[in-house]
Amino acid sequence: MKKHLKNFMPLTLCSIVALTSACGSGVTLQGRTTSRYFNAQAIWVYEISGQKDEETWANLTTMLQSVEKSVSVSSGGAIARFNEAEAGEEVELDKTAYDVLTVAKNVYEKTDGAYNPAVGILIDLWGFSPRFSEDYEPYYVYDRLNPAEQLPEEIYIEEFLKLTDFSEVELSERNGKYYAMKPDSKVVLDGVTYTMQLNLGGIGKGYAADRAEEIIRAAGYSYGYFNLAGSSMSVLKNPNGADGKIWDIGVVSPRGKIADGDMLTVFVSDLPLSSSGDYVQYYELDGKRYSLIIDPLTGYPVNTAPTDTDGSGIICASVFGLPAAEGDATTTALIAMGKDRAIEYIRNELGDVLTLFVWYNASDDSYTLYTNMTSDEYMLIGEMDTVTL
Amino acid sequence: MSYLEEIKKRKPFALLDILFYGVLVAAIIVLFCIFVFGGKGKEASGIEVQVDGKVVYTYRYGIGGETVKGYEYSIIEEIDNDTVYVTVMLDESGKEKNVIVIDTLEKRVVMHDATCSFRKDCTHMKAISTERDVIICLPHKLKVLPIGFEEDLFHPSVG
Repeated sequence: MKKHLKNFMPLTLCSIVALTSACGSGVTLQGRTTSRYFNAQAIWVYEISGQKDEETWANLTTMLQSVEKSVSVSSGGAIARFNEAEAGEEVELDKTAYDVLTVAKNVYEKTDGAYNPAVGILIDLWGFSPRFSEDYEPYYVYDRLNPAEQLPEEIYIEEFLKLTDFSEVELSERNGKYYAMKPDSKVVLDGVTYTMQLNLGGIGKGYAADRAEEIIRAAGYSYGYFNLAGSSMSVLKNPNGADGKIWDIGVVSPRGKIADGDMLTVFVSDLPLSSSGDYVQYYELDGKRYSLIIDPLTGYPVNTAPTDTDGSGIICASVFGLPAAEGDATTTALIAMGKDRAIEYIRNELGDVLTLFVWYNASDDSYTLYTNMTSDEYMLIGEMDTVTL
Repeated sequence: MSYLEEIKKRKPFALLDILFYGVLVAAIIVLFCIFVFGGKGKEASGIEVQVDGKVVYTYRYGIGGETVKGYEYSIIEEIDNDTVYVTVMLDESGKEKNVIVIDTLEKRVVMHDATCSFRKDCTHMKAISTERDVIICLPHKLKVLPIGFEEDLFHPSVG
């Protein structure tokens, strides 16, 4: 025994060190949450560092309040003022709104309009604006008593589509100030004049997550994450994860048939995550699911237009590695693109960016995961076929 | 020393050696299992319903439900075999309410219905089956939490 202990002592000592190092890296994580902004929960997990934790949290909440006010359609901020402006009017923006709209323009052009923040009036028509969340009473001529029991009139869908050409929005900067020119287009229905309405719900939270990451890293944090509404996340390192950095991040299943909880787990660190889907804000009518994600081509929620013959389509998408604002807009675009175009876009435009989407086949009520991730980058929990792109 | 005695001396491991390394390997396997498979949440032992931060009702599997004193007028509990329907009335008229359904066999809780908005977003939320799951109805300031709920910040999800 003595001879073997002498020979195997280095191995034994290494094993003990490895085991005890897995039990703790000297970094202790703590979390803080708030539900005051974006009508959603913001979670910040970080390594405890003392006084700067309070200061950083204060900076984060200040940022959230500021971004929400700027991009919200109902807060009196820049985007709300754009929506209230007359057709053809130039609106002054704050820098946040200008930056977000700049990102929106880029993704709009890259995706050939599959992501389009100018569908705000259609989002309102279908019942997904903030005013529908509480104490809703019909207000506009096109409002239904209960949107979940009656579809909007076809004439409004057709006419409102004419107000969604985001390419006509011109952004400019002059003398340190920022402006957006509202397009001159308008439609008149039942004596009421309607103009373009922007809705940055598909990108605003991602922008806030990107700013949060800047604040957190500038303060010197290396571990943890920032998660806003569960759809936009900035991930740093996990001291308790593989290699002292890998987070196991669950991706929520869009349907109970796939999994009751997360449908898969991805293994990542130091990158942003974005996710969109039709399973959070929606209503169902006559077997179709009408969700918040509007197809800019048809004016209908994705997979519900009369031309969508059987209701098949992409029901959720996630990207890991794009800045969260761009990622949020891109996931929305992927869902609106449809399967073939989305596959082409992932292969040609997204390159090494980890991406996935779930496609629902209504003909046999089945789900398929399409992803460019390799088998060591994720673990499937739910039950569905998988196609590697 | 005979040839046989030489062979015996050359035996690679004595019993003590085997025991020592066996314990080491077992420890590695146990720690591996804890870190790799220990991420799933523990099954919830019951739920509590909070309205505006105050607990109004609790249900414990194997024991039953209990309405917090003072809220008897606002909680209606109906039992149908292994399913418990809990209606939480949020105003005197009965117009504002949430209906929670507890499957006591599967130990699974869902928000079945609500009058919060026409979309009823809370009815789309994931069922509560572990200590990490939560259902929130924001317009009604109502939460359904597993008993012993602690926000599991270290197993995040997106989507």
